Amino acid sequence: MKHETYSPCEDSLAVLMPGQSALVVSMDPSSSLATRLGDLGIAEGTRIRCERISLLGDPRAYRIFPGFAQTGEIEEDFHEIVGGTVVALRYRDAVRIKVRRVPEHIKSRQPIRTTSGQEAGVAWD
Amino acid sequence: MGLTVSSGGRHASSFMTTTNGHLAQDAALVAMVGNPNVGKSSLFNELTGLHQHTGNWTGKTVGCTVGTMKHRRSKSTVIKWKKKGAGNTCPTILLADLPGCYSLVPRTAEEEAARNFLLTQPIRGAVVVCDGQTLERNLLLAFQLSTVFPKERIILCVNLIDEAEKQGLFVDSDALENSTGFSVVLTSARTRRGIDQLRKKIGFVVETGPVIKTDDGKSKPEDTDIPPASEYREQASICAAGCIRPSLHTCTGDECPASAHCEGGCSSCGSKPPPACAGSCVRSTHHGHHERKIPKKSGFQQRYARLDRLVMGRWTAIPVALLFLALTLWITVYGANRPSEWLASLFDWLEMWLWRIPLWAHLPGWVSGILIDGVYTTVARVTSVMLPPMAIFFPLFTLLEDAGFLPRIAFNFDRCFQSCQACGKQALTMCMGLGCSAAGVTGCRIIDSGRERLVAILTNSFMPCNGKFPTLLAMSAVCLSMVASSTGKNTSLESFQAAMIVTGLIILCVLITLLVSRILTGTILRGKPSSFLLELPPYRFPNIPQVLVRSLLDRTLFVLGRAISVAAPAGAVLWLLTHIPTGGEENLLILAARVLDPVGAVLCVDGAVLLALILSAPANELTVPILLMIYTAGNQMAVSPATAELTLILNGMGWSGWEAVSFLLLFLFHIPCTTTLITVYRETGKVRWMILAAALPLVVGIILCALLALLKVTFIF
Repeated sequence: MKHETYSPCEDSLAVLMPGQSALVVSMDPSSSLATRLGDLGIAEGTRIRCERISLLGDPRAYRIFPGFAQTGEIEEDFHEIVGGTVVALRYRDAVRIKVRRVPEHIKSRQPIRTTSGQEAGVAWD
Repeated sequence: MGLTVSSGGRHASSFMTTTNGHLAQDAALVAMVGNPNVGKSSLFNELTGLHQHTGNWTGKTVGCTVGTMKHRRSKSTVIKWKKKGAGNTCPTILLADLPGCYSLVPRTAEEEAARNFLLTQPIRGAVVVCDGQTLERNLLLAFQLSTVFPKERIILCVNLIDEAEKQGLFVDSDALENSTGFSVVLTSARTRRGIDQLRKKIGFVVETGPVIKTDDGKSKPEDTDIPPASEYREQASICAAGCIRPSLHTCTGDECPASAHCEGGCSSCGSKPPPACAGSCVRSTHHGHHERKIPKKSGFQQRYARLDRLVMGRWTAIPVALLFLALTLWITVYGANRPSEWLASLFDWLEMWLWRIPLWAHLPGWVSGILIDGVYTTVARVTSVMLPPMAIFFPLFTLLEDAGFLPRIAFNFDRCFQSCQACGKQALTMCMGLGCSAAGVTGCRIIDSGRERLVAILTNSFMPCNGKFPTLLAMSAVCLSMVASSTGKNTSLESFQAAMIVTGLIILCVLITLLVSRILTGTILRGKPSSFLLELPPYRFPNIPQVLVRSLLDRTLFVLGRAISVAAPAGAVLWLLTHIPTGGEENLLILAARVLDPVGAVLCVDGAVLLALILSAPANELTVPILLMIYTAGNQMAVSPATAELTLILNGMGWSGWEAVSFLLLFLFHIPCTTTLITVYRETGKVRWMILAAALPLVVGIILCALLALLKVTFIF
């Protein structure tokens, strides 16, 4: 299984558009939100993918995958993983979570309509 | 999600206060814990059947259900107990369904209550319920529990196995048992798979060994007793290495036993071993038990994704939500018509038989008058109008919740509430308030932040409850016919138009709720907006028979109890008001109405309307009957007449379209019913919130009606 490393580029969770995935790099440890997110499985090294934006623009749904990855290493088949929990987070809370984007050059996956970034139905082939 | 709080359930005397550690000799307590949304309650209902009751925690407003588990004991067990000298009886097993919690380090009142229960009650065993799809996260709770409990007493119950298998996730229970050390049962509450095995394991855990004694709750349990969740997270991240990720290949416990995993690395995926790997690490469980496959063409995935696109899509979300609402209301109102009529005729027939009792017992006229004419007819009236709609609405609502639609509605409309500095979950409590205001107030427990919960509680009674719908529909029809007769239009399609008016009124109520919420958060309840965290569970097909039975039992009995306790005194008072001799033609009721006339004129209504609203404080279903009693100078509650007759009566008393609209507005926004106010007091603990909850709708109603009166005056002149 190939592993890829790529140059670090940190963003916050809030900039992820539907269909884009990322690895959590750091969270503001002092906030109570961090501990609550930890209970749901979000910590450093969690793989996370934006599923959908709410119709009025604000909370976004994120899929959290179980387990933790060492930062810097991502499997190529990351985008095809099943399962995990879907959690809704508001913009003001997502901004405080720093993530590293995962590039999207994955083979056997149908392209997602990202015309307006609003359709996020992940299609399996 | 926690919405199926047994909000209207029978409040038996609190389990915690009566027992408080002094369980009967032959009863064994087993706690059921787990994350929310794992199907814990369905499992609990399967195990206990109908032998359960709900209590409240002392001093807190968190629900806890306790039930007796049906437990078939084998002959050998009976003999074993006989030898131990415990007598003939094997222990009765009491199962306690604790509120859902994500970890034992408490963040909400519910988690704190669950933790306190686990630390202070003499529990003989614990069942940790997990979801097959999110096993890793659920294990956090199990490991936390194993620090205060011996592992042999904890049963790991992996629920919703059928859903996990549909997604392609298979759990290897033997490997899980080996790596974690808990005894594991795979269950599916809906298909009843594994339930017997779970029963046997619970029985086994209970019957071996003595009771565990813990602190007797006098001193507050310290946080240091349970290691903070971060410690487990650390272990998990240290142990997490390359092959934690669900792999494409099958990897059973045989290929990668935990020991090889820790030292030599995984033979199948060849990734590096972690630097340090403590014994009970989460990682080995990831690897050892899951066999994950990529679903090639998983129909369920596609169907769920399609459903999600419909429910949460940009253009379809609002129409779908409105459609759901309209359908639910339509089924509730029109589905309840016939049963209401049947109940009414049943009560009438029963009344005939009741009249024989005073004859037989030679009771004085006024006693039988109060009891039968007053109390009985009022109770019968309230029950026949209130019971059928509630018996339809609440199962429907619970089905929607179990299926997973409600969190998505909160997700869709959170933005509106954000701009009011409130919580998106308030949308759900408003929907509950459509069923019964008191249930809506109790349902506000799902909102974590205290300030936002208070906003939701105070504004809950702006939504009309089920008891108001028949009156709203009838009066809308009257309003239509009055307006039509004055303008000369045709009034066919009357009931459809009335339904449209009521829908419009509900939308008005929603807007006013948002406005008042904004005012509250801008003035009295100012504060920082809390972090909004909402889990969107996968769609599940609900267990329909169980939901129907539980809803009917909980709701029906609650409604009957409320009708009797609240409507009975109201009936007695009414009878007195109409039968106490006043020395004149008119009874007290009509005199009081006349006194209130000038007050009513300011609000564009009659004094009779005001009196009817005041007297129907216990139950809103009584407003129109009392109004008719005043208008027709009757002294008995009669059946509501049809629209045409009602219009005639009201026209005769000087009503026009203005008065009808004003009545509708005042009926929607006046002091909430007494049950709601009592529930507000119970939930908040302070009298001032109860007074505010009473005052808010009243002030809104007065303002709206005063505006209408002004409008009428300017129109006429």
